[in-house]
Order: sequence, then structure tokens, then C-alpha cells
Amino acid sequence: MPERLLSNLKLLVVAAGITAIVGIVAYNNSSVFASHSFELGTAGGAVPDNTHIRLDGLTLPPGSVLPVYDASPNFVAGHFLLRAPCDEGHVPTITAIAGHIDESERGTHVDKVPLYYIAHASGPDSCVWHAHVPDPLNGGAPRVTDIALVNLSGEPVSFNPGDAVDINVQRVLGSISDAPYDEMQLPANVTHGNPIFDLNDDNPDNDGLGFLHHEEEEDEE
Amino acid sequence: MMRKASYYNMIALAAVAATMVAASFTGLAYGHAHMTITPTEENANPISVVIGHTNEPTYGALAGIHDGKHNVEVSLEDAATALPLSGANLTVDKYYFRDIRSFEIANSPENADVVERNVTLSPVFGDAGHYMARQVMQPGIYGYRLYGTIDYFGMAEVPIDTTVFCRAADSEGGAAGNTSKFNSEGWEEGYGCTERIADIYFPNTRARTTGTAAELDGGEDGYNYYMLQTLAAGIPATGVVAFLGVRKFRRKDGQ
Repeated sequence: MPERLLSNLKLLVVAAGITAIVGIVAYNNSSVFASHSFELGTAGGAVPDNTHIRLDGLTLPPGSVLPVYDASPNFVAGHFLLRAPCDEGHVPTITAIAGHIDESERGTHVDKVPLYYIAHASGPDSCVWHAHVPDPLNGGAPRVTDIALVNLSGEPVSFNPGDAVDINVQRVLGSISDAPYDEMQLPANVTHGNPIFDLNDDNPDNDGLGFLHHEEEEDEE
Repeated sequence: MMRKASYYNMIALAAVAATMVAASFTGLAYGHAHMTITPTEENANPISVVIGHTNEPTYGALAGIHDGKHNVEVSLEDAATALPLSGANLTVDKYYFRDIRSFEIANSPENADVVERNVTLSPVFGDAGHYMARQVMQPGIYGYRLYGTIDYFGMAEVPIDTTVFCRAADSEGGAAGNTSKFNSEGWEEGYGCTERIADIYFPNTRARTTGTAAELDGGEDGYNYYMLQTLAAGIPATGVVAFLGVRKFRRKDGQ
């Protein structure tokens, strides 16, 4: 009998313990999760996305479009790098375009990407440019889901060894379905030649907007 | 014959089910008021301004039930690109009307039952373009005069000075009525006025008594007591039932 009493007592303790735990969980509305303390995760809830495409060996015929990024339906913010053949004015022989390329042409709107020429990272055969995607101060398409290279030069464009495009997306800004373009503009409607800015030459008129002229400010002081 | 392991499996399943039910309560997000400013400053493009409260819909504070903490928050974006605009200097004057009657007889926001001026909207760390001022709310009608300057990507300082009030709901106990008469031009949609949390009790403990909703506003403390009473009675009762049930199974096993 004492053995049976002890057994019942154990069962009573187990039952009371479980009901107490259920009661506490229900009242506090709390949960227990697995530990991932060694994994840092993302900051801000967005997963950084990087696309790197080697262009060497490719030849784009006139009118050809080379898609290099598509985040549809999200329009995004990020940074764009291009290394490609250029002319004497540092304008790329292909044209970098961005915006939204929809399944419907009426929902499509792309524009030329304003490019910053980076002389100190360019070589004798190819130029290097950076761009902010989007660039609210210097123009281009405001909502970017797609980026592409299009040959509007009228001649075939062959890329050099080392030519590449690199796109780093840091943030999703919204969905194109919530903010569609009102005006259609297809890749073929864009004219050849991206707007080129240069912070390092002697011409202050082609610096674009959004940059401070530290040297000038220091001189004034 | 039921083995001992089966008892524990059943108990564990019951505990998991109860935990899942308890953890399934989630919050909802509701709309805010928004407008677009078209700056006259050079190099500045239209700016989207959104204002509202955190964790909408909002309910007034009630001891033991709801903390009433619904911060006033503002979001600034470049309208065309949706890029956030950081670096703004924003301030709000806060207006509080106790009910729709008080609001309707007012000729100006300055006639509000309570006015608080010069409350700084601070930038939210790690969330560019998001500004907030903490507050604990009471049921009623809240409006804000939002003023200051918006930094447009370092190229222009765009002034802002606008007033907007919450939108009243046509629900029981809510501040039903048109609350837009003091709104500045350009505001669209809106954030809800702050309601009594007792209005969403289910089951409605006031159904056990008589009187109108307004007369029974004191029933919240009764609800809290009801919850505690239920827990206090339910936990030991569950334990005793579990104990008796298991003991019965064990006796059967012994036969």
C-alpha cells in the first residue's frame, strides 16, 4: 500500500506540474523558441542581394537587350557598378537602363541610369561607373525592378576581359503593383548614351546633385 | 492495455495544443493618414508624409488589460522613389478631445480638452525616415499639428506645417462622427480614434448585468477579476481531474 501511495503521489506531482505550466503559458501568452544565438541574421529585415555578371566574351548585336537584374514585383534601392567599353567622353557604348519591364508593354517604363564615371578605377580599354539605384536627384526611373544593358549604338558591342556588371540591392522600397508607372517607355524608345557625371575632373558643372564640395568649402574658410 | 508511455504522450499532446492556442494571438496593423507635399524649393521633389499611431487600432490604457501605449509616428519618403528621408526636424502639438460632443462644439484645435505643445518626434534608430514620440493614450479623439523641416537628401530644407485628426469609427463606444473639420488640406485616409478596450471583450462580461455600454464602463476591473478567477479555479481542477484519470487507468492496468 505505501508503494501504491507513493506512485499516486508522483503522478499527482507530474499532473500538477503540467497544468501549472499550461496555465502560466496561457496567461502570459509566451512561447519558447529554438536558440540561434550564433547566427547574426539580417539587420532591418531585408536580405542583401548581390548580382555579379561577367561580360567578357559577350557581343551584343545592335538593338539587343541583356537583362542583368529583376526583382519584380519589388522595386528596390541599391548600388550599380559597370565596367564596359566607352568612348572618349566616358560614355559607355552600351546603354544601362533601369525601371520596370512588365509582361505588358503598357506597364513597362525604363530610363537611362545616371552614371558616375570612376576614372581612378578605369583602364585604357574599359571605363568603370557607379550609380545609385534609384537616383532621385539626378534622374532615371524612380522605381526600379529591372536593370538591363541595351545596345543602342547601331554597331555590335564586344566586351573586354574584365568587363562586368555588379548590382548590390540593400532594400526593398515597395511593390510595383502598388505604384505602377503611368507612362510607357520601352527599351527601344530610349536613346543611346547614359548621362555621365564626373566628380574628379575640372568641370564642376558635371558633378550632379547630392555631393558636397569639401575642397571648395575649405578654401572659403 | 494502455502503457505508461501512452499517458505521457496524451498529456504532452494536450500541453502542446494548449500552448499553440495560447501563442496564436497576434496584432493587427491599420491604416494611417497620408499626404504628399509638393515643395517649392529647388532640387526637391514631392514628399510623402504618413502619420498615425503604432499598433493600430488604438485603445486607451486600462490597468491590468492594456497599456495604452500607441506612439505617434511619422514616416517621410520621396514620393516617386519611396526612398526614406532622414534628418528631419519634426515637432507635434497634440490635441485631445474627450468625446465627439466636445469635438463638435470646438471652434479650433486650441479648444481641445487637453493640449500639449512642442513634442519632439525623434528619429527611430535603424529605421531611416521613421519618427516617433512615445505616449500612453486614453479613449477619445486625437489630433496633431505636425511642423518643422524635412531634409531632402541634403539638397533642400522643406518646411512642413499641417494638422490632422483621427477618423472616428461608427462602433459602439467609439467617437462616431466627422472629425475632419480641423484637418489641413491634402490629407487622405486616416488613423483611427482611440477606443475603449472594454468594447472588444468577448464574451462581453457586461452581458451578465444590465445597463448601457457607457454606464458599464466600470466593468473592466470585473473582467480582470473574472480572468483570474477562471485561472484560479481551472488549474487545480485540471490537476485533480488528471490525477484521478491517470489513477483510474493504473487501476485498470492492475486488474
